Amino acid sequence: MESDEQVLARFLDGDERAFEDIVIRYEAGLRNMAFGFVRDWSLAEDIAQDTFLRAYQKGGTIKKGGSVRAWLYRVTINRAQDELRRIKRKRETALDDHPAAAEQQGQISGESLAASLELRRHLRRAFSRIRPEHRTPLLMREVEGMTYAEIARILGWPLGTVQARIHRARLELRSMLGKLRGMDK
Amino acid sequence: MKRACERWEPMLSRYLDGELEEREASTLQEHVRSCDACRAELQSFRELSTLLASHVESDPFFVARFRARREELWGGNGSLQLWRRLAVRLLPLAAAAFLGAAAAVWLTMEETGLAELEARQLGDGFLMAAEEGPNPVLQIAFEPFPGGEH
Repeated sequence: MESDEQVLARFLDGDERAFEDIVIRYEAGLRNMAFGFVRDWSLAEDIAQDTFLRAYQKGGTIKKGGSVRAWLYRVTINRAQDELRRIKRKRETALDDHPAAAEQQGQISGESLAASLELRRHLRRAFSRIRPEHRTPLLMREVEGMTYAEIARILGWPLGTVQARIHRARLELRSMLGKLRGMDK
Repeated sequence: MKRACERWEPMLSRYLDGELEEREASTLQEHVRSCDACRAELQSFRELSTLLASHVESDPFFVARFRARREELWGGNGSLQLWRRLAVRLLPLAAAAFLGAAAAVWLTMEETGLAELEARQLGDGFLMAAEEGPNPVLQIAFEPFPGGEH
C-alpha cells in the first residue's frame, strides 16, 4: 500500500483524486477523535471536514519527511479543543444514541439489531464518561494503531504518561461498560 | 473476577499493544500461561479492543460531503491546484532571492561598520581611549608625539 507521504506527493503533483485516498483512510479516526472531545457527531463531522479542507489547501506545508497522519491528528485535536472551549452548554451523557443514527453508522452483523444497538449505546456512553486525557490516547491506539511513541509525539506527552493513560483508559472503560451493561468485576 | 497480579497488571496494556521489549514480553507471556487472573484480564482487554474497533466505522458518504464542501469553497479542481503548484515551484526561488538580498545587506552593513571602526581607531584614538577608560596600550599608541604632530 502506498504511504501517506507518497499519496500526498501525488496530490501535490496534480493528481486531485489522490487526496481523497487520504480522506478515506482517516475520516473515521478523525471523526471519532473529534467526537471524543465535543461529543456531538455533527460537530465532529465538521471538525474532521475542516481538517481535511485545511490539509487540502496547505498540503505543501506538511514538512517533507513529516507524518501526514500526525499532522491530521494534531490539527483535529487542536480544532476540537478550540470548539470545546467555545461550547457553553452542559452535555448530556445520553449521546447521539438515537437508533436511526446508530443504523446509519454502519453494518451490524451476527446479532439482533436491538442487542447490537444497546451494546453500541452502552459503549458510547461508557466511552464518553472516561476522562478525555485517557480517552484520546486510547482512541489513537485502537483506531489508528499508532505506537505509543507516535501518540506521545502528537500529544506532546512523555512516553510514560501515554503508557499509563492508555492502561487506565482500558480499566475505566471496562468498569464503566460493565456497570452500564449490569455486570461488574 | 480475581484481580490480576500487581506486578504484571500495569504491563498488560503494553503487552497487548506490542510495546514491551522482547525479553519483558516473553517473561509476561510465561506468567500469563500460568496465571488465571492475568490471563482473564488480558482477554478482557482484547475483547475491549475488538469492541472499540467495531464501534469506529467508516462513513461511506464522508468523501462525497468533503468533495461538495471543497467545490463550494474553491470551485472545480483547477484554480487551487494551479496556485499550489506555482507556489511550490516559486517559493524556493523566492526564499533564495530573499536570503541573497539579506546577506548582501548584512555584508554591506558589516563592511560599513568595520570601516567606521577602523576610522575611529586610526583617526580618533584619543576619543576611543577616553571612552573606554584608561588603557595604557591605546594611550601609548595614539598619544601624539610630545610637542609635535603625528
